[in-house]
Amino acid sequence: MYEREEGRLIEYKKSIDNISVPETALNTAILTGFQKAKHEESKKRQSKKWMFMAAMIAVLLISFITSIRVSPVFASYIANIPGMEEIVELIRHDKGMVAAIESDYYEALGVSKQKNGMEVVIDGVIADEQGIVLFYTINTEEKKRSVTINQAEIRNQDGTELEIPTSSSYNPEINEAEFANSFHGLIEYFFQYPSNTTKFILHLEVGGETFELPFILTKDREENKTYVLNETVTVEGQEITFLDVTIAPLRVGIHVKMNPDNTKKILSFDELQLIDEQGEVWSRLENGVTSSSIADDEWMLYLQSNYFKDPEELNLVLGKIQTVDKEESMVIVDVENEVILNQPKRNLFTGVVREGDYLVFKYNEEFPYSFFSQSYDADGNILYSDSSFSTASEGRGTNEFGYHIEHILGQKSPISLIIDFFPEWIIGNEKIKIK
Amino acid sequence: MSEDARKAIAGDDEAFLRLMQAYKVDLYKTAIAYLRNQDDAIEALQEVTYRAYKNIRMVKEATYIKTWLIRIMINYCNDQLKRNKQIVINDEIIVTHGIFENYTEMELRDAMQDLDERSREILMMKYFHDLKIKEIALVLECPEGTVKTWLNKALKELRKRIDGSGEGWTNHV
Repeated sequence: MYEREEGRLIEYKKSIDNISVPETALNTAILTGFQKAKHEESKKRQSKKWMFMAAMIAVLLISFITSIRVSPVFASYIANIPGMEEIVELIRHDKGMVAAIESDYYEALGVSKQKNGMEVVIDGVIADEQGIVLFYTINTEEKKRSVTINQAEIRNQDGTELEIPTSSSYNPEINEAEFANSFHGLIEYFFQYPSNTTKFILHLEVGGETFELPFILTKDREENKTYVLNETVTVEGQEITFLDVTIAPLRVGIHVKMNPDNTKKILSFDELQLIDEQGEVWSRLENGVTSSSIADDEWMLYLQSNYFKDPEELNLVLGKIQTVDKEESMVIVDVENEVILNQPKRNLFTGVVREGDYLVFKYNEEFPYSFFSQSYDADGNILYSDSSFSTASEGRGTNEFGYHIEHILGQKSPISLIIDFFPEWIIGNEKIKIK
Repeated sequence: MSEDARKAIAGDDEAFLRLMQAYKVDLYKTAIAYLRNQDDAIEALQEVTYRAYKNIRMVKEATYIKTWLIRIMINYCNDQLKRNKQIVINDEIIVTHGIFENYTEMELRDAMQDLDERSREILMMKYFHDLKIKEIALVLECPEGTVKTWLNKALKELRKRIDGSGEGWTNHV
């Protein structure tokens, strides 16, 4: 029917097939593109490492004191379980999990599967009614710089779905220095509703291979302790109500609600802490799921657990709270012209440029947070984004925050980005008594 | 090759570079067909390498890595064409920078450029990369019947444009 058109198309292809190919230029192009992507990846990695370092310094101060105090017991305990040192390395920053291991609440499993030169081992778990933390090792025949877990799901062995709204920490720490045969990491799952399931299957996809690992928990799970508070505090005009506190082995959940009429949007409780009668402190979780949102103005905030410490008195301290005025809680960017059309009054961002599919914001303050996680086009359609990076420079240089928007040039500008974190704080000096 | 594809998806840099080597000519020619100009096509390959590396972990099926790469190239070229539409190019520049001399080819090329994105994409995949209807359907994630319908429509539109410009060729900018 369209032979003539088809014929011409084929002719056209032939003519293009005949053109000479600039081999060298193409090779250079591939390398340049590759290096650009690599460079961004390393920028990302650097920033993550940098944040992790900052967290480590803060936490080491605390956990050193703890670990020195418990060290004889702890050290002998670790020495008795093969592979335990790596596990402790993974959770060193979390007092609650260290305490769980010290209290013999860790359950060793050693379930493994092998396939095509790769072995996946579930070393063990820490589980409570609300969640489960899996410690795994991936062994590879070939030495590698890293392994990537593409998918990690757990199901009930009887086939019923577990409602798991949040999970985190998929990938093992990247071995930056050298190639290795063994990679350690942890995966956290938190259930929607308290669960006492004991028979699970872990479904894992690593480097193109699929593994199904069934496992059964036999250790009794400790019950949560819940304290009802219903106490409202006013911090610089903003009303915050603490509803209740749930103390579980893995973490402490603080249920909090903001008054919808507040003039400021509360972004993050940076310094929320629990303090006992001896002045011992439990802070926010450093990694993993640090909060979850129940409604627009209602959150669960997670702190490291003091379940196994069980102090006599316990108080909640607020400290610095990140906020932004509700009226200015959005940054608007004209992508084509690389211009910020709107941002909070203090003009933190000094500029924006587009690099590939990233919007890169420049600013001069030390603030290693991810500023945005949601964005919309000019018509209010939500845009797809799967990554962001931040780079920090030494001293008072310019920092960058890059936010990815898929297919950015095809989107209708201006683009609005919702602020999730911002360097503005209110300070709460209140102390709330839990017990 | 599918072994390299599998490794590349799993994060192996060397396998990724080998893949790009293997498909660079196909990708380059696609870019030439769209952008008509050597410098732009080289830049396109660079950008496609960048985008591919960033997203390769999302590829589910290693067998279709080539079509996946070509699709990234086509998307990139479509974006470039959209941007260039706003820039007025005079004929002289096209002649000196262009690669084609032949008038009938130029006519076809212009007719192609005047098509909607989907028609252009389908024609490219079918006649340029010799993909089967089934493969196109997989890449576009739609039933084979739909691909056939679209292909027919694309050819029809192409005919209209070629016939319509029969008497006096005009440059669409």
